[in-house]
Amino acid sequence: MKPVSLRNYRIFFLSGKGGVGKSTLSTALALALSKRGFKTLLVSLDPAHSLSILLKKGLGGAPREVAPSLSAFEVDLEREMRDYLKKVERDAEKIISPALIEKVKNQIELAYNSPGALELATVDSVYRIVKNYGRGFDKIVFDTAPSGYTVRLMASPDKLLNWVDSLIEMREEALNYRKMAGEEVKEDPVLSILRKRREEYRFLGELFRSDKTLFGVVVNPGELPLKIGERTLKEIEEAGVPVRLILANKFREKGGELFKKPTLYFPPLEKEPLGLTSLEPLVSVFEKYIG
Amino acid sequence: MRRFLNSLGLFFVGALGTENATDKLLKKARYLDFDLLTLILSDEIGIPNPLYYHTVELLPYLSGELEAWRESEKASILWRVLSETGEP
Repeated sequence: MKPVSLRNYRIFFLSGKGGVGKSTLSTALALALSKRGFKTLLVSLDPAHSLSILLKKGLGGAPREVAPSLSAFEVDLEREMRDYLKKVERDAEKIISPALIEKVKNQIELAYNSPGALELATVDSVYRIVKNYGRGFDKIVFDTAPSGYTVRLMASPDKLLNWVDSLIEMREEALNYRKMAGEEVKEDPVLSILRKRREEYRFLGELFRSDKTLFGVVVNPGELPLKIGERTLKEIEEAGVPVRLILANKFREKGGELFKKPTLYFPPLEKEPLGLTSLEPLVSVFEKYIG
Repeated sequence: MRRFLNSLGLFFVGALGTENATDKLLKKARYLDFDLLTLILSDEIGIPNPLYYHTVELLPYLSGELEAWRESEKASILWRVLSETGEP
């Protein structure tokens, strides 16, 4: 199999279970890319906020330069969810009678804990970040990938787009009837929201399947960690998204290709990874494969 | 006089007829809004909506029909299903 050439990709997602070293390897990858002169943005979507600890720097909600050509920031997903649902509540308050508003607000609040909410908030952030910063940076590295399930949802755009399209049609038909009945039909917020979501799903579907996007799976040594890694890989690939790289982390010895994929081997670090210099042994592995 | 009565009759037919057609159109529109609510709130009739977090954004604009939906649509869907399967 041809060795991977990292310079060919623009967007990087590292998948893997908690604790396998996603944040550490994402940071090392971003650092390696920036050292080769690529203007790189490192984004943490990890609710554990390990990035600021690892970099020993406070990170906020906007990119901050942490090394030459390297900027980083942490997304506070819970806050993003809160802000979004607060806005929905404010929209509701503007149009709903006081008698009804409490019931509707309760219904909106259910969304915080609805299945998949955190995952959808994650892809919303990915969408916004790639859209807002895609032009300003050569490479964007995400330290967490959306789960296989969410990737599948977004990467099978036909299903999802057909679904949104049928909602759009339903609404258009309803508005047409209202128009025919002589009602004045103005700019419809329902339609504009549905169209915005449609554009988001289309964009993410393309992004996930693009040949400029690299999905990598981080695995640790041991039979069970490898099995879990293989399952993650399958989940992503069954969603129609190719996994281009296996990152074998904390391996004392190099093996061959894992799961018939190009595999990079990373040694265990002598000390806990704190500060950029501690990542040097990992950065040098990535640098060899930038090409 | 006869012509006047004829016109008057036609006027009423026209007026009532138009109103009926308008009613029908609004009714159709309303049922489509109900359908949209059924999709968003499918969880309430036992079908999970994996995109609830996204579709909840539409709720403020449809919630004028929320109570009516709960009383008529949701009730009738549940009634249809439960009458076939029986309550668990």
